[in-house]
This record gives sequence, structure tokens and C-alpha cells, in this order.
Amino acid sequence: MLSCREVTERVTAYLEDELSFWQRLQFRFHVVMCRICARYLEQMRLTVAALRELTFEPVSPGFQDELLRKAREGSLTPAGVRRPRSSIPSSFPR
Amino acid sequence: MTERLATGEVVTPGAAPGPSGEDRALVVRLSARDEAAFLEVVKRYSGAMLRLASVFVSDRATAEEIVQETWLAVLRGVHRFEGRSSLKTWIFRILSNQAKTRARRERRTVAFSELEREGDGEDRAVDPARFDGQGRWIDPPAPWPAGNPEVRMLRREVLAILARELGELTPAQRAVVTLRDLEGLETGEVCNILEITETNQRVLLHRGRSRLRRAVERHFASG
Repeated sequence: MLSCREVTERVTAYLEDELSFWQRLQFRFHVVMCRICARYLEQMRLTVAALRELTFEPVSPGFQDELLRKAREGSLTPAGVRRPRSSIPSSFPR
Repeated sequence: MTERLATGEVVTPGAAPGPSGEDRALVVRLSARDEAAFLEVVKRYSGAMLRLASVFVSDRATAEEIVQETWLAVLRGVHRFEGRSSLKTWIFRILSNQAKTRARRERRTVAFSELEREGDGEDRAVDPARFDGQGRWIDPPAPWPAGNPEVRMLRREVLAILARELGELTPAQRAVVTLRDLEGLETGEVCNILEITETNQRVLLHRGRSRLRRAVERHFASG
């Protein structure tokens, strides 16, 4: 039988669905029998769920203007760029 | 079949999902140098790109520079986008390459492969001293407070802890956790972007997540 310690090392593979059928069964079996490992699994789930809620800081205020300026300066018309084919939908604003 | 990235290196197709119809329309517009389309993708992805770039370099100004360089590389290379991945994955891979190059120049090592090594105590999900000789808990994790009226306040606390602890992960762990858990990308996409194997990805994710759980546990234990 899987030990508690092994459960804590396999928990990510379990959550990521990367265990084989038998490994998965073993894992499930342990967690059904062991209240503490069930708790551990739940805490990993909560941690992962909370991570999804972390937001990021926006870029600096001048970021877009500077980028657009650089893009217009030359990178927008590099050498060797093929002109788009005429099959491109004309409904997009140019 | 391979694809040439704007950064010049060749990509073998991964297991990651391909581009959506929306992606294809955007690529067409970007190839046509449609500024509105450019602004649209810049607005959509720059925040997340900055978050990933920050993993590799020390300061925010450099991270923003990397994001800008990436966008210029995207513009230069978009006509070569062949749709073997989603547009986002393709852009993030260029970003990751730019960031790694910059990190090397700053002599910061972002060791992805080093993490293949089998871990010492620090890399265990849980301190081995908390188990007996048979691997059974002797110092089990306490239950976390949940489902009570202060749950919203608790969540804000937890998010603050996680945000802080993320900075304590190794850059490689942080990069994987950022893409997989914060961005919610698929495993195949994460491997594609960071150019790491699935095994390595899982080890990094496991160590990163385990460490983050421990930080929350410590917080609740200290009351």
C-alpha cells in the first residue's frame, strides 16, 4: 500500500492526471482510507485554485505608446515581408 | 515538419492545441500590419507577458523591455506563424526565449535542467521528519479554516501569501507555476513555451505547488 509520504509526492501527478490506472487506483484507495491525506489533497487543490485568482500588475502607462512608436519606426515594415494575399478579408479595418 | 520562430530557432511541433479561428483572423490582420489588431493583442497579453518576463530578470524595467522586444519580434515574424500552436503559446515562446537570452546576459542562471536532480530535503513536498519510518504521518497538517463568514478575508490573506511565496520559488519553478496555474495553460503548452520535457515540467510544478501549500500551512499554523 502507498504510504502517506508517497501520497504527498504523487499528489501533483494525481491532480495532473499523469498516474497510470493502477497508480491512480492506489492513490484513490489511500485517500479514501486516510483522513489526513484526504485533507492534504484538498489543501493542494485549494492552493492551486487560489493561484488561478492571482492577478498581475498592468504594464506602465507609457508602455503602449512607446511600443507603437518603435513598431512604426521600422519594425512594421521589415525587409522581405510578403504583402498579404488578396484573399485576406477586407472587412478588417486597415 | 518544423517551424521557424521570429527568434530564429526551429520548433518541433508539440502536443499543445493549435490556433483557434480567432487566432487565424488575428494573424491575418497582424501580417497586414493592422494597427488595431496589434493593439488588441498587446492589450490582451502584455500583462501576462510581463509577469512571465519578471521571472527571468531582476527588475521591472528590463522585464518591460523584454515584452516590447517580444512584440517587435512578433510583428517581424508573424508571417511565419504556421499555426502549430495557439497564437498565445507562440508569442509566449518568443518571450521566453528573449527573457532567457537576457537573463544569460545578466549572468542570472535560470536552471531548468538542474531541477532534474533528485531533491534534497528542501525539495520534498513535506519535511521527511513529519513521517515515521513507514512513511505515515506523525506531524499531520492541521485543517485550514474554511467555509466560515471570514472566508473572503481569508482568501485575500492566502492570495497575499501566495504572491509573496511565488517570489521565493526558483525561477524555473516559478515559470512553470505561473504558466500552468496562474495562466491556466495546458501542460503541453507550458513545455512548448519553456522548452522543457513533461517530466521536468511536472517535477518543477510539484515542487513549486508543494512549497506554496507549505507557506499557507505555516501562515495558518502561526495563527
